[in-house]
Amino acid sequence: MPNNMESDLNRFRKIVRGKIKQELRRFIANGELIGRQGKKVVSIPLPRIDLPRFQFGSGEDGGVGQGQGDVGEEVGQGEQQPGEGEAGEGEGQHALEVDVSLEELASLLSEELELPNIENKGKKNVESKHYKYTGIVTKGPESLRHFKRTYREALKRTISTGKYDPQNPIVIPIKEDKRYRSFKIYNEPVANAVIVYMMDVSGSMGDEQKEIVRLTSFWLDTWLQSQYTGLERRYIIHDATAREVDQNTFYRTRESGGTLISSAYRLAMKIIDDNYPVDEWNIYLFHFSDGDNWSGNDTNECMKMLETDIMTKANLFCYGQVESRYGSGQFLRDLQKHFGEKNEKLTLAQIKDRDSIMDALKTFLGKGK
Amino acid sequence: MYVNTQLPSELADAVSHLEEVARNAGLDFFPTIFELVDYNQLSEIASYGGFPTRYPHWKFGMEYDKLSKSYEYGLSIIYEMVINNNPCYAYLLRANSLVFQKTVIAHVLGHCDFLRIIIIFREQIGKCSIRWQTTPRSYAAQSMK
Repeated sequence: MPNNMESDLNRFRKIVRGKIKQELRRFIANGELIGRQGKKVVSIPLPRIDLPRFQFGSGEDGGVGQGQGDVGEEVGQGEQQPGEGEAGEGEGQHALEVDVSLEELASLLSEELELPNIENKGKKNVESKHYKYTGIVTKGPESLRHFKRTYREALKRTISTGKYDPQNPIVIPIKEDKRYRSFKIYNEPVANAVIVYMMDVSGSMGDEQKEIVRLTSFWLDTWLQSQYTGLERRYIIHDATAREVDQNTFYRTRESGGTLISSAYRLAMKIIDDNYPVDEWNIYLFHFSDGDNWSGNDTNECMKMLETDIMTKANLFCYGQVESRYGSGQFLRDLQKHFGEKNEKLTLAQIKDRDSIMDALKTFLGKGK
Repeated sequence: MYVNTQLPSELADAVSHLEEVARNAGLDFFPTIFELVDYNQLSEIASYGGFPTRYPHWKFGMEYDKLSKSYEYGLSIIYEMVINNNPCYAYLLRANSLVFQKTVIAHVLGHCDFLRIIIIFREQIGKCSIRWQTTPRSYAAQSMK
């Protein structure tokens, strides 16, 4: 597109981006997006953005009174009473449909998040970008102007046009002489990382609780994928027994049964031991449950496993507890009691409702952990 | 970016034929210049309200976004766009079929006649052409610039 349309359009998109950011919490709590996983873009309806304009006020009569007034005189008209209200006939506000890619949404999620404690282990999978100024180009911002090269071009031109005077060697660069530094993006492998998601699908987890877990792990997943290429992900669901499932099943299963959290941990550790040697992989575990473990014995076993096995191998263990009507939420308290409030490798989050998903994400992946 | 807005021969023929027909039917219009554009360009012109250039503002971007999207979704097509001026400028959508184009051309000529005769538009012409003379005249000229 020639002329200004491109910049007008970009400006408009920026405004839209800002609007989305404002209402991100609402979109994150919206389960519909999970279904759109395969597709690149999602449409988000936003209220139409109106230009500011002058409007007439409603109070055309009445106004500020003057003088003393008599006893019993009414003061002003008062607020207008809401009318009876008939069915309206005007059309409603048009919604603005905005296409955003999931990645963009995830990056909007927060530029603050980061995979905590990531270490340079076994350089293979996870890549990070870095920029290096290597080339020279003829166009660029003045701040990147390469003085020497520009001078050289100008000198060449001056000499070749015969204007160079050794007595008075003034060389004035023109636009065509200017040379600028240009950068190239290098992908640098930093580390291998595997993420294991565990979800409690037992009977005490209601549909709403499962939905919250799915949403949280979905956004975790989406965000991580948008930030780090080449992460490995494994999914485990458990009730009284645990099994590994694929991503699709993880997001869709509805099951019921008792709860034995240790089963999930055992399976997770088996997967890790079999496939991901600790000295080559960064290991992250996310576990979601309503915290209603079936027996104290099992909880004790979990603690033992966490302490002796998981914590020594994993970079981070995140436990997200969803509040449920039936669950006692005991597991979170047990974890707190056992490991103390501040443990480097343990992050605990309570997810009360859909609105606190965002907070949970921030707790899990907050910087400066 | 170079944009070829020239009419292909069959459309140019159609224009001259239809002009003749229109004049015979008693229509009186300024010379009318037709340009062929694709829907992105047409949406752009339309969102600038027909002007070849406007001050920078995101509202044009919003309008453009709306127009081009509703075209992409098949919800709306701008068939024609006439700039009330002397000479008149009119834009044809490249993707339209020949029959459509002919209908649009005839329709546009009607507009041009109307625009010339109606007093309120006649006043506009003077004002517009000042703008028009200080800015590049046509989409093609501007694109080349």
